[in-house]
Amino acid sequence: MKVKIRYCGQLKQAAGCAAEEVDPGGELSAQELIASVAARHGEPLTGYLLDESGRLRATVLAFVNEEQVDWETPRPLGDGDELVFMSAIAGG
Amino acid sequence: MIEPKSLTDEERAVYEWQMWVPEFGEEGQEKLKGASVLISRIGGLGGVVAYELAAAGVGRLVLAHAGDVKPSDLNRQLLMTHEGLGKSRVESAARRLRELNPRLEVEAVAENINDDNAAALVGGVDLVVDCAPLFEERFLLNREAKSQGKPLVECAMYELEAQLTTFLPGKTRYLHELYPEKPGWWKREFPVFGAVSGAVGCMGAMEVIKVISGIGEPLAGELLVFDLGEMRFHKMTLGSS
Repeated sequence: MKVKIRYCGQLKQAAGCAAEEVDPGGELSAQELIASVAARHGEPLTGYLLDESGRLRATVLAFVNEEQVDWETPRPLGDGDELVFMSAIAGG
Repeated sequence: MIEPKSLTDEERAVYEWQMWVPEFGEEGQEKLKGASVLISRIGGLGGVVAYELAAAGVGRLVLAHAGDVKPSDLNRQLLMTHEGLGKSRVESAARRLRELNPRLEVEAVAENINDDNAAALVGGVDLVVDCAPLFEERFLLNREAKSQGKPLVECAMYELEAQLTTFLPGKTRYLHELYPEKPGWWKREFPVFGAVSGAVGCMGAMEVIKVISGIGEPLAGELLVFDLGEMRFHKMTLGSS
C-alpha cells in the first residue's frame, strides 16, 4: 500500500521535503501513520506535528483526500490515499 | 442585515460590466453599495482586498492598520507608494482608494485590532476581513466577529502558498476554533511574494462580494489552499467540531 504525504507551510522545511510517498507496511489509520511519520523524521518535524501527549498539535490540520482528520475518530487509509499536513499561517 | 442603496446614473455606468454577471445585476450592486466592511491590516493581503472592494463599489470600508510605510512593504503592499515612505500606511491607503473610487466612504483607523477597539470596529460593519500578520490579532478579531454574528473572510499566505476560507455565524467554526492555539514557530516577518498576496487578496475580495450579494458559494466549511510554485489548488473540507 502506498500513501502520498504532502507538507504545507513551515512543515515543508521541518520535513525537509514538500512531499513523499510511504508504504506503511500494513493497514494503518491516519492517526497511526502520523505518529509513524513523526517518529521516522524525528526533530524538528515531530515537535511541529505532535504535542507532548503525542496528539496532533492544535496548530496543525491533517487531511486525507481533502477531508479533515478528526483525531478522535480513527481514519482508515487505503492504497493511493493522500495525507496533507497544513500549519496555521497569517498575513502581512 | 444590509440595506441596499439605490444607484446613481454614474454608478450604473461604472459598474455596468459586473452588473451583467448573471444573478448579480443591479440588485447585487445595490447591496454592495449599502454594505460596510472592516479590513484588519491593509498590507499585502488587505490592501488588495480593499482595492478590489473599492473598485467593485462597496459603500464603506473601515481600514485598521498602525504604523508608517517602510521600504520592505513595497514588494506587496500595493496601496503604498515610494513617495509615502515614512508616512501613515492607512492614510496612504485611503488616498489611493479615493483616487480609484471617489464615491467610497473610507474610515482610516491608524491602529491595529486590539482589546480596546475590536468590539466597536466589528460592531460598526456588516462583514470583516482578516489579513493581520499576528495570531493574537486574528484570534481577537475572530472571537469578536463570532460573538457579534458577523461573517469573516480569512486570508493567509506564506512563501508561495496561501489559505482562504469564510466563516459564517451559526454555520461554521471561526479561526480560534479551527486552530485553537497560535503556532509557536510563526514569525511576524516571513518570506512571500506580492503576487501571492495579491492572488489571495483578489480571491478574498470575491468571497466578500459573494457573501454580501448572495451570488455563488462562499468557502464556508472549506479551506482553499494553493501553492503557486506548482500552481496546485485544493479545496479542503473542514470538520464541524
